[in-house]
Amino acid sequence: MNFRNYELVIGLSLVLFFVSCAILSPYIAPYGENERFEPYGHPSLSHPLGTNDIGNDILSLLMYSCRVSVVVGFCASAIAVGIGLVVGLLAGYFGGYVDEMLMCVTDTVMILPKLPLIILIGAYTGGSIRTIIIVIGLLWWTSTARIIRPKVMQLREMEYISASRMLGFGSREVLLHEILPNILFILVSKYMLTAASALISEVSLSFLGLGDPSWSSWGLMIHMAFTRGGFVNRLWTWVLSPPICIMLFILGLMLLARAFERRELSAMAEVMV
Amino acid sequence: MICMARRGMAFAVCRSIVVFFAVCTLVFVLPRLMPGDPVMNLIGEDTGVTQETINQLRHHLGLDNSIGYQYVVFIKGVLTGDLGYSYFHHKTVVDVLCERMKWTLLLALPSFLIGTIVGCITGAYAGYFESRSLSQSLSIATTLLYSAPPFVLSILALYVFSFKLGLFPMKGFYDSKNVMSILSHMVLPVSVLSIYTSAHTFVIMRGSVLQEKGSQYITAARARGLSETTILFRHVFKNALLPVLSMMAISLGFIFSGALLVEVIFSLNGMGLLIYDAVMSRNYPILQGAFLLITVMVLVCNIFADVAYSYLDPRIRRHGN
Repeated sequence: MNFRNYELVIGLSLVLFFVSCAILSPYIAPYGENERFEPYGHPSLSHPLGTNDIGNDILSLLMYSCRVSVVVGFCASAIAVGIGLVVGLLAGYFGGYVDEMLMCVTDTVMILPKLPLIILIGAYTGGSIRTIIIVIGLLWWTSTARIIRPKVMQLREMEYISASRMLGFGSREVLLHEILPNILFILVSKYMLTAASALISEVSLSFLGLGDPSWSSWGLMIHMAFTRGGFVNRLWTWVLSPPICIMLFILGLMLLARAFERRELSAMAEVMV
Repeated sequence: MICMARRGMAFAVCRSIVVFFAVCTLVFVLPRLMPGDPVMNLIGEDTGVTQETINQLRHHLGLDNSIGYQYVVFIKGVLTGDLGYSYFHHKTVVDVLCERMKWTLLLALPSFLIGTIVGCITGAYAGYFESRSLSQSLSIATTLLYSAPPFVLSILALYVFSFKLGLFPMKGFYDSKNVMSILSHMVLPVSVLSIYTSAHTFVIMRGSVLQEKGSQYITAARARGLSETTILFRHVFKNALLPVLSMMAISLGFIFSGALLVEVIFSLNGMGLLIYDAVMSRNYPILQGAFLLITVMVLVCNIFADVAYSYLDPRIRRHGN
């Protein structure tokens, strides 16, 4: 058992923990999302993390808030990695003009200031969860494309690819059945990283009060704790628990990403031999 | 980076111009596309202007003209540095932005420098002496820091150092306008931003040094009897710095927006808090102006990064010629 295995185990358990919290929140949360008790409650047996300004139970809110983070993180990342995969595959496999054009678009999207752009769009559209997911998905794909492209270029030159091309398989066949399986690990790794990045953006947005108002989220909880006296009343569980959840979730995603990246490196080494 | 440099400066400039116009168009289209009165979408809510003024404004902003004419007027305004008027601040947007920019720079520049220097040195160390235990713990610590967005770190720092220990003030840039007061207010936010920057620089520098490690000039230097530390800081460091430099130039572009949430947490009256307040009061002129300013900054720094990269790497310089 070494550090590498720890990465996979810790990462996977953290991510699974938050995902199951998100799925099971209506069943395992001690109280409902809108149930009200004594406001500004300090931690007690019935409310382990206390209550907020309008008397919601903090622990239950934390669990319900997992949903937004998980949904936005994983859905936006799916869109982003999907676009990045297609762009990277096409650019790397066909090369030439296709490559030039696609990389030109990639470089252009890459230098857009993403967070300010999302804030601007959020301020105008009022930030429904669907808008947030789509905008993040459309902006966050460039790094995936830039990682996939050189991998595909490398694979394209290998003999088994020329062999299958000579056997008469079309580009689609080769791309889907010969190249795609070989970049799966890096794709999963990138998926986790993008999810983490999307999660940070969503938290930042809802911290600014631009998230979806009909969902409770960690960013909104921090916003409330700041503007409605969590600090002043020394309710440290209210102030600190959402940031800690965010950190742990991101840490889990990053550890998983690293574990898959290591797999990819060793798998690549095998293919090259 | 490398492929960008290969395609040359002209490409970088063209791309920046394309992005600039795309962003301008977005800023132009958004308020006119959204439901509601475009006048309100343009001047922002919470302004307290009368119906009469609104009617005057509609004419003044040219909203009764054709959309093409409006676009030309808008672009002309942006190019001549006229970003509109904030009815909330009763000042032009450019004035408001300039006033706040100084404070953000005061916060962001020192953090940028400290973070980059610390990140480069620790990253180089951790990459070169990969198997030492100090390097391993540095890597683990960086992973932890890397996974905390800066505003999360800020909350933790504010809670522990200001609130629990009472070492630093809670908010603002100063109590009284003297150097000591400002300095004591700056310690926490600057530390948080520096730590965050250094974590990012660390990762890149470490990877870069790891790549350099296989080079033959290192073996040659060892054969000449140089000590490992000398080899690292005299020879490897310089060569490994290249990717870090281009990353630095790019992150310099985000200097106004990078500290956004940190400023909000520490109630620092810079660009970040300005954007936050603008979001809260739906002050659209300020939002648009700040967004355009950030974009221009990012684009300029990107061109600068391209130039620096091709200038510093002789391989690319030769290729370009």
